[in-house]
Amino acid sequence: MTAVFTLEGAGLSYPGVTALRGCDLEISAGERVAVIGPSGAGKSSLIALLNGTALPTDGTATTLGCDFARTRTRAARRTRRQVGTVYQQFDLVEQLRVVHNVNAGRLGYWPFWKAAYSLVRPRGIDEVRHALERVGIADKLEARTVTLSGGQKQRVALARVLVQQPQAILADEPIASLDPRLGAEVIDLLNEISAEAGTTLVTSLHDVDMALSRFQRIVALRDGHIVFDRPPDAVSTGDVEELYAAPDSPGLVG
Amino acid sequence: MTDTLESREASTLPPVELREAAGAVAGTGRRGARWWSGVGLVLLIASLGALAWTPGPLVRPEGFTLVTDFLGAATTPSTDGAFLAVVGSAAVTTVAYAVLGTVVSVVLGFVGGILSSEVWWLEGRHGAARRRATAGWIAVRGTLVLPRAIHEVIWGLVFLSVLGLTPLVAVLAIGIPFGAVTAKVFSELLDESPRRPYRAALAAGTPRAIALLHTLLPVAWSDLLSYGFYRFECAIRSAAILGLIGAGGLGFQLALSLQTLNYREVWTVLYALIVLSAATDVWSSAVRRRRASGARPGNPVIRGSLVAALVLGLFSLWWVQLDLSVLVAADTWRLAGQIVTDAWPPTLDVPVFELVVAALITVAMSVLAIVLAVAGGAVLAFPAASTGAPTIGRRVRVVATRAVLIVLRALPPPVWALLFLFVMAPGLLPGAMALGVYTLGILGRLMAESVENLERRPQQALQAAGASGAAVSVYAVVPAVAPRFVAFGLYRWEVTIRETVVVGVVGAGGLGLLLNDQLTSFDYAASLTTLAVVVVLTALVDATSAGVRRSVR
Repeated sequence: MTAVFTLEGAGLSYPGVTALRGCDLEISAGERVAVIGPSGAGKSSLIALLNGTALPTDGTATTLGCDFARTRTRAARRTRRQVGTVYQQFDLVEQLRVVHNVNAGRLGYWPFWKAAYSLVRPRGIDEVRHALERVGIADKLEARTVTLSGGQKQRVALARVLVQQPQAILADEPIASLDPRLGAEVIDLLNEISAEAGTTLVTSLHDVDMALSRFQRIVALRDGHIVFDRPPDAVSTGDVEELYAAPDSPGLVG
Repeated sequence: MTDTLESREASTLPPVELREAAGAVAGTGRRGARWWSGVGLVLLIASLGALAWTPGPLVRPEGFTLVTDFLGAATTPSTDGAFLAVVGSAAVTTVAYAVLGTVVSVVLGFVGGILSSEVWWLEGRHGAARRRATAGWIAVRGTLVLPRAIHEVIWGLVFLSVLGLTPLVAVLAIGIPFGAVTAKVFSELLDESPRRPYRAALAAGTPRAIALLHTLLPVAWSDLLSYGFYRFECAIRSAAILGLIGAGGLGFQLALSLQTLNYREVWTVLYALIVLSAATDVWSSAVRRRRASGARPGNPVIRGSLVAALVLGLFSLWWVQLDLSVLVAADTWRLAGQIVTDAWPPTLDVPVFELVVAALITVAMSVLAIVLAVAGGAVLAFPAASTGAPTIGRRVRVVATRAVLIVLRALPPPVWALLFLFVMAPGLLPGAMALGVYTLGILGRLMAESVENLERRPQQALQAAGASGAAVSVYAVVPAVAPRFVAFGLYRWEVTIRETVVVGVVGAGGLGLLLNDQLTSFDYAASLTTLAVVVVLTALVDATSAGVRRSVR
């Protein structure tokens, strides 16, 4: 098994805040991992280290053999193209039609003239239509993104990752803005898509039951470090309660 | 954090035209406000004092007969066929200059805006790459400061010396400073657009230019176009002013008729200017209103306006027969090179006292002008605002007040200055009056719009509680509009300090007069010194204004 993501003693701090510290993690190709933990535990920061939108301030982070901190722009871009990310806020351009937002997934492969022309006459419509069919909203191809519901927008974001055809998919709280039923559908869809193409999947979730029931591996974060990292059946109720317990009382802090 | 501040700012000010005013900064609280009021008061008293300092009598009573003659001619403008044809053609030339100048400024603003935006340089960059990018970003922003600080007329005078009498002078003199302002505004529009899609595109390995094209431009471009229409409105006035310094068009005709004291002809030109200015006002605000109310580009008015703009652009190119070859002519470059060697280094061998006095006069002029404009605007804003039930009396009042405001802003400051120079000794007073009256026309409209956009509920609540009309205005209207009026005034003060140069050129005193004298006597080294003083003063006023706006927010 080749490593897709590797963190070695990785830490991330901003002036006055430590988001992550001393994280060791190796995720191999084809794994489907859920990252859980209370708010502010560092889940989003972890995802950011994995796709290179943040660089570790301590230790190293390697993605598909690329250390973003030591890589020239061009090579880094090639690696980024292999990692698709889905976010809680969908990150779509609301003013554009759905087809453009889906095509945004493969802009990294297009020369400038093609990207510019595509805004006038959309390129590669067939693949876009196929991706939208796969996520169940084929009829929305021409719709203005602003008119879609939250669930539909997250599906557009998934279709965008589909056309990107990455080796790994990262999802940062992909269902936090959706109601439970829609959330379960989106998570199932993410898992199916990854399983079909053998894509590695790393999702941060605040819904522990969803994580335990649908993923092969659970990484738990608290206060910026990894508390445990094991298969779901090895995670006890006690583990979860401890993970989400109120902050330690002052007397216990070392 | 800044995102939320800026969006709040955007919602409290009218849309794009006040972008220049909206530098988002955190408040410094009450003490700052009191301190700045004190500074303002001292400035005002000092400026009034400067009036007394002007040598000789302030008012020339003998000029009043000239004024009577002049006003008497208002009802009998020249309708001579040949002259009308000349004025018509001059009006078209002025429009053509404005159109081409606007096109240049929008193109420059588009490119410059991207290159001076934070998202272009910094987003998604870390470590050493980010430090290098920051240096690039600051360098570009720095280069854009200078063209912005220098008024169109100074650009015009400089281009006139280098290129000679060619339409290119007016087009470039409008296009370059407007382009720099547009670049600043567009970079802010880009930086304020939702950034997450851009970030996501970069994270997916999209090259920067393509990510910008697909995620930020679709959001920002329509605001850029709408701002372009506002710039066109300003460009019409600038094109008229540039005519006065010899670039042709309505301003040039006006200068000719004024020199020959042919008041009936003057009025014909003035009426043409008023009609032109009112028409562009109406057009541009129709487009911007539709944009602000969220109309799509498919809206017939917006689509029609874009087509009309395209046609106008092509027509203007044909009309002025723009000759770009002068730009590459060896003569031009030799001349430009000579001016640069003449001007550099700027001489320090100038009468320092004269320069200081001129600078003080300039500041005093801008202060008096802006006080006059804010006071007058605050008075006229209420009758000009169409609020309440549309009775006939109200409508007449609104239309009449607005007509006055349109006339006030249709005549460019130098024209007002020439009129005031009939009855006033050259110097501070006519300049301040000219700028004040013109700015009043602009501020009155902005203020009326902000009165119209006031939230009605607090007033209705007071009325429902049985409060009198006066009580309602004191408790609900004045507190709501006062901060905006102050913000408008401060923004316009920044514009006014730049425009003092323009009235100076026609003899109203201050740095403009000095600069004009130096330029016409080909003393480029001294001109550069004066210009440097102008730029420093402008920067000081900008900083002061930003400081005050921070404290009143």
